[in-house]
Amino acid sequence: MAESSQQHIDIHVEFSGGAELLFDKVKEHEVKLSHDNNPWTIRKLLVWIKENLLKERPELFVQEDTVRPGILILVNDADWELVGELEYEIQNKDRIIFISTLHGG
Amino acid sequence: MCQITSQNDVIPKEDCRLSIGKSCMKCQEPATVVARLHDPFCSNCFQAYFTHRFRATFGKSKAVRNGEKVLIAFSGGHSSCVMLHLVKEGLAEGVHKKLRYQPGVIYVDENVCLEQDEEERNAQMRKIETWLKESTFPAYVICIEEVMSKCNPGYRLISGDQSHDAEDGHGNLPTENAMKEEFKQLLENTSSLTTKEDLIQKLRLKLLKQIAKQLGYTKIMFGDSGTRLATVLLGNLAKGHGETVHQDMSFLDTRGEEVAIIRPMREFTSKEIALFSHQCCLQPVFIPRISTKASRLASIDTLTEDFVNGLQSNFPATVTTVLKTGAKLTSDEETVGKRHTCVLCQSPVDSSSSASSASAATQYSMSLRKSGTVYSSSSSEPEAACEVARDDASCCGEGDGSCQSAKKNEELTSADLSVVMCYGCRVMMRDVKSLDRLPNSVLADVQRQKRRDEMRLEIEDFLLDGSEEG
Repeated sequence: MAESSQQHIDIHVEFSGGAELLFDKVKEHEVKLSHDNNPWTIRKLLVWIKENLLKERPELFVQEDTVRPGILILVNDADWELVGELEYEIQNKDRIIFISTLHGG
Repeated sequence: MCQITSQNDVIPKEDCRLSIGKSCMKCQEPATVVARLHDPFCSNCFQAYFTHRFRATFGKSKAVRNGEKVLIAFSGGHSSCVMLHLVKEGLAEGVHKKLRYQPGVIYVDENVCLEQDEEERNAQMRKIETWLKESTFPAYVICIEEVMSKCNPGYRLISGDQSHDAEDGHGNLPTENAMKEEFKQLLENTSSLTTKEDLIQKLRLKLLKQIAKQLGYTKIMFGDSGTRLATVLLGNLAKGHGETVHQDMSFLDTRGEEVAIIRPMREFTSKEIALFSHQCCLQPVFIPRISTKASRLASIDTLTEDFVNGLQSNFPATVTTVLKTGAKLTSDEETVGKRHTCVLCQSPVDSSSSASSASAATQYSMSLRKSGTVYSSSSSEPEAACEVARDDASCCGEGDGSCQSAKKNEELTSADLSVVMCYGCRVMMRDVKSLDRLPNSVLADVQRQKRRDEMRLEIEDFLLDGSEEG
């Protein structure tokens, strides 16, 4: 992945189950991540989301360096536990979905 | 050295690594879901497992009889959508072991608790109505403020069976607006978010039971997930509802006389439900609640939820452990039948506790704080304090219940509540500034209970003691 000659990777990020409220109620986001030497992991993406997409109350979405417990992450429709959680290396055209399972979003 | 490593091992963070790239435990296809504790499933096997487990819950308990009318309480969330979807599938022709009850579905509109703009709300309602219509079951929408209604609560029929339409309540706007105001005032009069959430929940349940009875349903089906129930259980312990936690989370909850509650989604964690909903491409409708976007420290519920989810993410057995432990608890069966039921939650009232019990002590210190005076030793008994207060508010003496003086409503005191409400609900009422803002149906129940007690007291000497006889 890291050796690829692309300048950036395009991914699709989606928020649902109430998580979208923290993103101006916008559910779907097309995201361009600029390519550098380090691969993009979910860990890095979370920081990026926090700095770029998140509109309010970051503590309701991220806690420490991971996502708030109760928010589920799917990578290309698969449970993120199956792909390595925070360490997963994001590929071009990945679909990453955040679903809040918390009561009241 | 050794110890440090072993301490680190306690945090099972490495477990996730084991799941990477696993194949389905049943068919060896690439897995897409990690369900239960650490079991990888592919989509097909997961859906089959999920559906089977849902139906097995009914099979095991034998709680629902053939042809019984069951009302599905639908909120629009993941869990409700999945539940409705599964019931619909289970009733479809040609399904092996078809479900055999007659469902109806109801949505409780709680918009009055929130401040939303009209457009957003209309969009939500459209989505909800689409869900209700697509269910093909008789479908109803009811507003939470109808609980304030003096007569039968009014509802809106969305689809299906017209036979009950005639019973549709008032329907004229002024009454509705008045109830809306009353409900808003009740919430405004409530100081903490914990109590607001609880009050809404209790009143919603009361309303649902009322409407179910009115429409001839004998069971209400709730979509509470295992995760949610674990939260409720721990939260209720903290809020003073400890005695009834086993009922709060059991599959079949028989509190209240006519209408029972079933919770078929309790076998699943919220994660499993969200995954299933995602895989089946169900489109849940997100409806904000009063606690939406509140900080995790905002109420007992949000804090407990945070605690449960935090544990669950590292220890996937948390939810099942809490629920299994909770299921072992029971209340004092011997006395349950003889006690009053709480006017709010229909749990048995623990008024029979002895003078030296913790609840009596709490009550005593509350009464001291309220009156601001120190009782002399002669009247130091908490019961004595209550007795005085009860006498103050007593009716004109017509113990047969014919006394309807409105004066008593105004004088509803916390001491009155001790007879008609369970401890947990009484704790809740401390946060409600003015008790006469409670729904009329609740106040009427309080008065009825009170009159019955007074009558019982009067004729006590002539009664045969059931326990001695039996």
